[in-house]
Amino acid sequence: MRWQKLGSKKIRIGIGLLSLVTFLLAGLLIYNHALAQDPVLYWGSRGTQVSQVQQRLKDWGYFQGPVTGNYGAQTAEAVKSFQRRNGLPVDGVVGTATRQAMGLATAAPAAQKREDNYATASRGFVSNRDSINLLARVIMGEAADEPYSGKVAVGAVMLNRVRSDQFPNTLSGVVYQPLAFESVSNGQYNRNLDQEALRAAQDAISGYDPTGGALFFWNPSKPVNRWIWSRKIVNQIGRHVFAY
Amino acid sequence: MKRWGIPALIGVLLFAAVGAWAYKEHKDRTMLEVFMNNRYQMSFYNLINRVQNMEVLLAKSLAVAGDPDDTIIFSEIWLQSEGARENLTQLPVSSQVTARTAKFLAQAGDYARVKAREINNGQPLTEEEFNTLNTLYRQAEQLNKELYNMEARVSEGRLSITDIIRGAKEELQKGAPTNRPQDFQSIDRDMQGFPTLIYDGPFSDHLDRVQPVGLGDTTVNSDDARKIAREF
Repeated sequence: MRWQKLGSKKIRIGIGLLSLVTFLLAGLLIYNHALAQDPVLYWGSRGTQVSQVQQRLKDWGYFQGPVTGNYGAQTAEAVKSFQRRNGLPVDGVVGTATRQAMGLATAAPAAQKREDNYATASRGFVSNRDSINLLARVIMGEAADEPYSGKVAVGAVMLNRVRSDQFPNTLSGVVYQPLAFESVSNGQYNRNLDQEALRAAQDAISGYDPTGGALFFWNPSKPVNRWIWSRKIVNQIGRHVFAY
Repeated sequence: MKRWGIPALIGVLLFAAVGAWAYKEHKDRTMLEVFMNNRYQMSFYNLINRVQNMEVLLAKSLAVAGDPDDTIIFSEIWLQSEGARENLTQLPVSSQVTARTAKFLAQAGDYARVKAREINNGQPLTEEEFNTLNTLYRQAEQLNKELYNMEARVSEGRLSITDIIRGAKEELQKGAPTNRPQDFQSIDRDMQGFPTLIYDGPFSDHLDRVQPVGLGDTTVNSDDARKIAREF
């Protein structure tokens, strides 16, 4: 009897151990499954994944608050406006589709691409190298001895003219407008380009404008059209003054 | 001494006057040359700009194919390609060299115009038309790329518009294409690959190969022709 009791005790321990292991394994499996499914984030969720979502929404301007890792009202609002803008069901819950739209890593394979019979379009060839070269040439002609920001400023004036409604709509139109740039009308701009002029042109095209939107520039120590002094001067860089 | 003085003075004055006149002429000439060069360069840069816009718009038309809003994009393609053609044909190379490129630009624009009209009338783009647009897009891309390569050489000073003008003048005298405007010739050669476009518009390719409708099936030899003419 005593032995039997001992034996049954052993069996009980064995069964206990076995069930524990099974439980752990099952738990792990379910956990893994959950990982593969992506946790659905909703109001009240917390953790690094929430932080990721918040950071992404903050980068794209949907979320204004601090990145805390707590899914609160503000986060839910941000998720909703993101979903509205991206044609997703607006529920304020970050599921797989929303996650993919945000470009966050998902375990699920990417949504099946729509089958089209159309030939695919390549990315094409688009370049603004011609604009950079042309701009650099005029910068060489007009501001070869100016400081770097003075060179960028001359380029920026030309680009501001392209955007203005009082001047031609293309860079070549602005550059070759009669009586606009002295170095163009006397051929000075046909000199060899240097690296600094090219860099200045690149910067101007990228949006660097030291003049703050000027449309005119001239050298005050040289004789110029008297009309031009009626323009409002905004600043001076090197030997040039810049004006609207 | 006195006898030499006055003629010498007059001589010097004359020489100075002629010199001044020659210098002024030379300056004017240089100025005009620069001016001409600038005009041509402007056309060249405008051409690049227009062709690039055209390429981008064709790409857009592929992305939104079938949408009613396509009409705006198609009308813009028409505008840009006509602008490109205008600038291309103002360049100082003979029409022999640019004809095919100009035709491509004209047809692409015209095709886009006709498509815009059809979409407005409620006819959606067919798949065949979509593929045609895709080919046009590829062609525009290639043209754009080649113009960019040319631009790189122009701005590095390895190819000047003056060179092209000189080549064009030689060509006119000889009456045959010289190898000066080689760049445009190679572009024109590449334009050969572009597909025949048949659509409902004035530049459609089917107008170039019209079959006479009035002729019967029987062949008429010269004797028959004489007979018919007499009876007539």
